[in-house]
Amino acid sequence: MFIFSTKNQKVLGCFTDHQNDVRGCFEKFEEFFRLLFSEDSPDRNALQSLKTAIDNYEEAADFELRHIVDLLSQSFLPATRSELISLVVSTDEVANHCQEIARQVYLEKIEIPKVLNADILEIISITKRQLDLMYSAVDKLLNEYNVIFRDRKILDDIRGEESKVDNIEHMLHKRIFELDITLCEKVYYRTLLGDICQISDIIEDISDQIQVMLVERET
Amino acid sequence: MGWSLGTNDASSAFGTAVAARVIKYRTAVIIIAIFVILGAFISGSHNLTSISELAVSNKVIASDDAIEAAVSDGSEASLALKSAIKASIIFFCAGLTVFVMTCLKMKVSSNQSIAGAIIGWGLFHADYTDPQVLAVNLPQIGKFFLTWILNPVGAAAISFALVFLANKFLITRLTKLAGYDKLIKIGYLVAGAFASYSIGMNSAANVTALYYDHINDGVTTNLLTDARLTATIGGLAIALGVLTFSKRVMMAVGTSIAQLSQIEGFLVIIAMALTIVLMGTFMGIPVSISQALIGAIVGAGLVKSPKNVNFKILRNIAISWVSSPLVAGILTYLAAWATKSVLS
Repeated sequence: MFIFSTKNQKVLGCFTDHQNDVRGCFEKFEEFFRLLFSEDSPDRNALQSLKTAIDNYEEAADFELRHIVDLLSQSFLPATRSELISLVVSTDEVANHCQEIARQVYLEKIEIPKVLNADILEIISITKRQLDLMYSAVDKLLNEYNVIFRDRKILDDIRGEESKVDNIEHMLHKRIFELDITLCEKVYYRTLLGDICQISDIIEDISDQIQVMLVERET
Repeated sequence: MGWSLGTNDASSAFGTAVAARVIKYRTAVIIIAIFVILGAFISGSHNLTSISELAVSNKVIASDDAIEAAVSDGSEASLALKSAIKASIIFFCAGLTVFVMTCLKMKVSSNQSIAGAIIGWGLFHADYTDPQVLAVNLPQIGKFFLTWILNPVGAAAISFALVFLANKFLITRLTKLAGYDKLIKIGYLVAGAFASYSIGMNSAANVTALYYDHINDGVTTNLLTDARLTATIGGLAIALGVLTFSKRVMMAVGTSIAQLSQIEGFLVIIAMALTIVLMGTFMGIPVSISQALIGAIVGAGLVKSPKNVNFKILRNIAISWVSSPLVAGILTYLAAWATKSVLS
């Protein structure tokens, strides 16, 4: 319906590149935990190469973020600009969290009790689904605005996935404090669990931001 | 008068766009100034006649008979001076009404104050007990009152239709967020320019109509005789107000209708402008810009639900209908009484 400036198209292209980097980062993060939980003593070199891959994706995402912010300074209306910057910064937080957690687990040689492994992997799987839903929502916001404007079910789905993560987190929290380990270890695992679940919260926040953008444009 | 109209009324054209940072203040004032002058130059003369006629029948501007009599006894210069003084008194009283009521935080309309001031003068000088005077004056006054009602009601109806159609057909076709942004930017530019044009067309007459003499058989007792020039001078005065002192009001107007969405924002301005142009074209009477704006906001709110509308703002229009012409009329009546011996 409208002619778009190349600047706007460039911004949208960079959005896709940034999303791909964050997605790559999260996929490597998932691989990292699957490897960590696969054997009694996981291969440190393999873990390190996954951690390096996470670092590289995070760095690439940071680069794209800066590029987007630069491009946005010359396109879109000021209000939309700040909303999109906030959206991309929040998305970047997902990659930052993945990097921090993987780095912590690798450097501190954390051995997570086996009884928690399956549920942590379940949390990561749900978060990945949630991330895909979020990408779809952002894509719809940018390229199929009329579709998401009418039907916002996808945003409810993202919140639904976060609730699932929340339930598992509470269950694991309880289980950690029933384990026969020291209080220091309990607190340590609870904090790590909280950090992993934080990614799901960030994605839910992004869906809220999209909701706000839509509501503000409602007539 | 033109300067104050520029600082106040003209701000409604781009207030929302500037407050929402869709358009820069500097760009906005330049567009307003250009389109106000264009509106006054191209269509401003529409409204001159009705004010001028009201002024003649209320003894502010000299009638044909008075001019003929002045020509025959050689007192055109004295009549011209009296006309200029009367016009100044009307403007002073209308301006004082706006100033005092604004200080008292009461709703006021400059357009209605001028009409009220002219009628107030006529109530003293024209013999309203004479059936012939009534036969001329009452239809004129009735036409003015009718437009005061039609103005907000018409703006509400047009705004309702525009917002309803936009919801139905426009938003469903916006496929990209960038397209939404483009629509907002273009929408506000078009709406602002159109509103500026309508303000020039509407309000220029208020500024200079009393200095305009439409009776022109070679002899004139007023300053201006060319309708287009008269309206353009009014437009220039309004543009000067916009360029020099409109920022504060513009921001206030922008935030006052901030409860609207951005699409509703520019549709409301288009509805306001369209109403003003229709009133000028079909009724030939300048109307209150703020009342057209309020009517348009109410109309947009009604699309969603009557519950969304703050009906208290309608009370402000009603207060303005009564208070603006009444206060201005009383002031000019008193001024007419005080200057009776000099200006009769």
